Amino acid sequence: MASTAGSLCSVALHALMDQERLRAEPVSAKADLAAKPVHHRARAQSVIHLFMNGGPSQMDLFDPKPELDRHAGKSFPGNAEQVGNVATANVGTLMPSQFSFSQHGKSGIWVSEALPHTASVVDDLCFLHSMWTDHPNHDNALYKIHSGRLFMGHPSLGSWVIYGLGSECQDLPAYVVLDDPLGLPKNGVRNWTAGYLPPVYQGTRFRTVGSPVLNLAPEYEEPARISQLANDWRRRLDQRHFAERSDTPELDARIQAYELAARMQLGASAVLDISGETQATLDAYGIGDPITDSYARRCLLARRMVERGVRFVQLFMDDQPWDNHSDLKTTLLAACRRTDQPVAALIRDLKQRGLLDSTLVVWGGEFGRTPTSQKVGDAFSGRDHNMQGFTTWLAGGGVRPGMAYGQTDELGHQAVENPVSVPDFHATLLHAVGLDHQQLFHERNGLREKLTGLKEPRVVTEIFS
Amino acid sequence: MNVDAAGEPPLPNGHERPSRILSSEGAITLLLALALSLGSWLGISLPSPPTRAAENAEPDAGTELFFEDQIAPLLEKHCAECHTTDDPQAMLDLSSAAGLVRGSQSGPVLTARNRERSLLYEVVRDGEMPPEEQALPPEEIELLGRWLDGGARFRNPPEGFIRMVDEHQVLPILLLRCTACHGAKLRRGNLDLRSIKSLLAGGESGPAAIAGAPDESLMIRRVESEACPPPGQLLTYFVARPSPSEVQTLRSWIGDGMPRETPVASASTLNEPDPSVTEADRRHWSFRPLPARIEVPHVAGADRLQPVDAFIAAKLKDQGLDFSPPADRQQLIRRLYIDLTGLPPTVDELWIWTDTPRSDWYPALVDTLLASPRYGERWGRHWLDLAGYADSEGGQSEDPVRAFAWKYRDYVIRSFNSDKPWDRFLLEQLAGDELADYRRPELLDDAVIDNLIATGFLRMGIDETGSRTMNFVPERIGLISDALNVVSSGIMGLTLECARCHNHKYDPIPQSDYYRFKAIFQGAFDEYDWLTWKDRNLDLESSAEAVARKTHNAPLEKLLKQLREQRKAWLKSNRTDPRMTEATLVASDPRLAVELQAIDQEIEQAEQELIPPPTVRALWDRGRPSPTYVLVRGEHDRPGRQVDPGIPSALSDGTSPITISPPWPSAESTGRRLALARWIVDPGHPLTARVLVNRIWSLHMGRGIVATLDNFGLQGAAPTHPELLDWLARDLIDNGWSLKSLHRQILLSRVYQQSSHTRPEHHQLDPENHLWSRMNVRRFDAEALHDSLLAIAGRLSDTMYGPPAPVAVREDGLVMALPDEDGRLRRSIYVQLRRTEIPTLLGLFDYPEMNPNCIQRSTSTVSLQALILHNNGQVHEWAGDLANRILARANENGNDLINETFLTVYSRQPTADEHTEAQKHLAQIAEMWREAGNQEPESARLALRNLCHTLINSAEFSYID
Repeated sequence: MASTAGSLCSVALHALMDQERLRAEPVSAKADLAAKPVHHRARAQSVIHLFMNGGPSQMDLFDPKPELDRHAGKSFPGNAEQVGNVATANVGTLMPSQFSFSQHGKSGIWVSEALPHTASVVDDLCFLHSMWTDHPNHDNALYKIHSGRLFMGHPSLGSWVIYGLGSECQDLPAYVVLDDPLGLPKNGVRNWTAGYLPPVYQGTRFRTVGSPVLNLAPEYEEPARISQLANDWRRRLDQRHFAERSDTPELDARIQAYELAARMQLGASAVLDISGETQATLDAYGIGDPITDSYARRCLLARRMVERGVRFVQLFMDDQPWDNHSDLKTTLLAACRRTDQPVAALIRDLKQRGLLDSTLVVWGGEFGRTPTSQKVGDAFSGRDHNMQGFTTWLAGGGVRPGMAYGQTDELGHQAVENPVSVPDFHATLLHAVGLDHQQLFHERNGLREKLTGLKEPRVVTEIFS
Repeated sequence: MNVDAAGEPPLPNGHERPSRILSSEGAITLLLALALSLGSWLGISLPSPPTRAAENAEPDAGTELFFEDQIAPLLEKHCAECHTTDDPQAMLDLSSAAGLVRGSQSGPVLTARNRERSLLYEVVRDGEMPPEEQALPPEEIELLGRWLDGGARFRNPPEGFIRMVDEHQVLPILLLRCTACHGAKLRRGNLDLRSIKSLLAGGESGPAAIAGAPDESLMIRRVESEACPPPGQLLTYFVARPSPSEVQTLRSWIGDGMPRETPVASASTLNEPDPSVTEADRRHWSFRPLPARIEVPHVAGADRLQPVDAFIAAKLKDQGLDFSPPADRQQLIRRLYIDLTGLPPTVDELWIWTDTPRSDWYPALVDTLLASPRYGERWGRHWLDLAGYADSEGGQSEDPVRAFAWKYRDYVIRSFNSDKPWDRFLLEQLAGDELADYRRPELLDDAVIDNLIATGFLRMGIDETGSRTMNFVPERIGLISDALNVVSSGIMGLTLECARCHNHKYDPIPQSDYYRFKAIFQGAFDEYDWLTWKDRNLDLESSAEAVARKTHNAPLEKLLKQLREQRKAWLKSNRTDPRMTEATLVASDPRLAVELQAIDQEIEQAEQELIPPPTVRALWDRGRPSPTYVLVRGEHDRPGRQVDPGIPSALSDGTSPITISPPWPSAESTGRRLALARWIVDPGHPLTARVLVNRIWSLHMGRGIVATLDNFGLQGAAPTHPELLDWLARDLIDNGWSLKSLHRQILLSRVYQQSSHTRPEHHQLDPENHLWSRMNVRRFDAEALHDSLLAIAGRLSDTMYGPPAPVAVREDGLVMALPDEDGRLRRSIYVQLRRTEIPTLLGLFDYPEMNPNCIQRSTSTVSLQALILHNNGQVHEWAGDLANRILARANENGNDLINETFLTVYSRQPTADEHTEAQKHLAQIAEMWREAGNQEPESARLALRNLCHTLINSAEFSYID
């Protein structure tokens, strides 16, 4: 597991076996949060998913297209129905990259001027330029990228990972969601649902302001010693109740659940307390700068969580800042500015602490954007949704650093070389954490439900070192 | 017509190519031509450009190949071992040309000139066949593909093999791509493409096709020029453009002279059961008919045992075990109350039943509780799980509210309370629209309206087809499949869903059975002739009622419109920032809050005065079903053979036992679902009663006699007590399908009344309690917990029925039900259950995700449950209410506080030790409150609140012995 320096989780992990237990009685397989064996050697112990909701524009950030720039202003070569989102198609002409690109690092990977900090760590990143998905609407594409299906109700990637691997942390949830204090992303809490898996696998929202976890602190005032006394008595009642029904292990699990709840109050406060971080660290992330502060805090928290053994951390932004239908040059840059420095600092920080090898960082959205401009109001100043090609990058977790994989066509429109579908992407992420997408299933209505669905996906093995 | 030039070059590798995003899930068809045209326009070459059929293939690719020379040896080598003439796998015989041409269970396996639409090619290319990793070498796969592209030529064509494309390959394409505009609803250009006959008759511009002349055929010209489907209207009518291979099929068909049914592939109807299902398959225990009489075992030394107990005792005796002693009286009282009503007994009720000298107090209590209106609320809820009840449509993130779903919920509660015979209950839900003519207002009465409300059962799944973009055929098929899943797994205990894409892996359910079953619903759920949820409502009222309602409502609606505009204007004028939420706005200034409240009150008042519309969310047959085709691999654009409606072959005795006819003369209804429903409730049906009694048993006893409630097939669990299951099923039918009589059979048994205490011999002889040597300890489900908390706090409303109580979403995401004017909360069955806003307390205690339904709840034990029970302000407030109630009662009758608290929360007296301990604890805490500055009696009240809060957090409150 990840380094547990300073962690409350360094207590013997075996003691966790009975920490939280779910008895989906009577026939379903036992499901719980106990650490479980991997299917094959895990390259990553933890995942930090920096989810960029809205559909970041690949041709303005990571996927330069000289042909697109050269033909700027010409009409799209083909049927306008095929460009992007049929529903909102108000297709304009080919729109050149709104930012200039240059090569960076030893790898010489191209990054646009919109992301100078990310550019400084490209040698640690592995770009998938040939992602594609099945639907040009946010709702469905979000369900797809998070749960592998176009519709609500299926378990998210994080839930599957915890279902497969269990937890290695005694005082924090296994799957933490750091959503934006400004508001929920599109699709809200459905983005981290456990779907038909037991609720124990659902992402726990961890807020940086107020009570970090729902109901974590009592919503009433009471002298501490009264709470203490009452809790001691409840424990005695429960232990006696269990002793008289000692073949009902659920009752023991319940006692443990109350203990964990109490520990979580401490653990959550400890992980939130960043007063021990150096000023240099805070500055590196951009904490204190009003533009970056919010995202920087959450990036720093993500590091502190994987340090403590949290398995899956997911960061969201409010609504959809990367959905740049109009005025892309300004709105895209605004999203970049909020995230660029914190993200780069996170990569450096993980690396410096020796955590990057065991932590897989994933950056990306639900789809990309069109090479054409889109008419919104009277102006053609943004891009529409594009499900046929987009860029996602990975870092750490055994992934080859400084690599660019796959290509879109000359306009950045459609993945044409080594295309990576969403199920391919999911199978690859599972592979990295030691899970086999075929062996990770949940029996339901006589079917073996899998994250990657019916069609056999392809693990992109080429990106692992 | 260029008959020889067809087919795409093979994919360079097995990868899915993004240009083939014609996925079964996806909605938007993307043509393959783009990359190519783009490349040539830019004057550059693109990596592996996908090519369009018919344009780039070699002119004579594959025409030199003949079946006998190249293909027969290949099939002989790789396939004929399993696909033999005798008993071939999947009914596909690959040992002869005739067998190959005849095809498989799914339909034809090859399409001449089109490898991409040939199942044979596809399964070989994808490495699915031959099984177990003995894939064909690439050059042989390519050979097969080229032979198909070249026209699948035979030196000696088998009899009947003249033309491979017949109307059953063409009609589904027309249904999928054309009939939205040229069909039942719309008939543009006066052209109807729903049948070959009307296609030939043509429309205003003449016939749609000219035999032998695809290039001159209007249909082909319109499609290839992309005039049809009309650009810019694909989302208006939810059609996608035909794929190149579909266009090729149309061309081939026209080119071949538009043949009708190909004689050899004419197995287009499947009235008879699928011959691949054998007598041996029908001998699976649950497919065998229910015996007319089941012998009750005689158990030595156990006279006068009730039948239920005799079956259990026989097996216990075999293991050297006996029943456990009965639970003590107060445990039994609590067990029955929670089980039958979902609420604990009040202290008064507890004492009445504890103290009564009646020797028949137990059956009397069972009868009392079965007669309580709370019974229907409790057991109706179990049925709503199976139906997948939700107060919203789901699908899109807007999650639109289902305004009238509650009428179905009320219908279910009423049916349970009135002990509606179960066969009638199922008939109404499966085919209420075909039971009586609801279209004639003079025949409308409450019973007829109930029939229609009942069909809401089939419409509980997620329905995104009312959205702007998610109403394509694949989404519609998804919805249909959910409804079929609910019926098959919930009522019949069959995992029919597994046969949607291929033959069932374990059960004798061929894929064609799935589509025969789907055809039963085609009159109501027609993916080619669709109604969205917005249009699936019926206003059922007499014409006089309609006039009265409209007259009454018109001025109110005018007023409401004004008020809503006023509200909007008010918000606009008071917001300092357009992104400001309403909550922030009113929080910013109390005066604003008062102003807004005044407007809202006016709106609410006007709304309440409206006579609600008599709208019913229903499913009804429209009497014009499209033909039903097997979908190869479950893909919407891969039609196989046509099927007629039918029941699963394994449950048929060789001739179809269902007779389909319109329910009454001149009915605009096929009668298919009524025929299905009648078959399902036939007393001879092997599954219906067994599946039901098993479910009821499981809800009472904590585990089914068959542990897999939804699966009575080969992979399901075997029954632990098969004769008991059959006896209960038979008894239910003999008692006129009375559910309450079934409850009595179970509840009055000794097995139910046993103590849950485990004795040492149990560990040895019945560790898992498979023999029911004792009762299982069980946790409250979400509703019992929520409702019981409210009940003991004195905050539970007893209002029944009607629109659901609204919920509020707190800023931190916590969802909770809102109280009524008196501060009371309604039972959870009456709380709005919107998919995206399930009250947190319910969700954390395993209220299920309805996707599409829930056959069996899970019971999780996690710390988030501890956090909400312990820290949540509302729960804490209820603890305070409980303390106040107990104090008030104690003041009235002088009862001991601690006794009263234990009796209220645990339904029992404390032991002497417990009493002493609690007394001491109470005093200690009261002292601490005093030290914290609270005077008597407030300090004592606060201490009692702590005691109450502790007890509702303790395990004993939420577990049933």
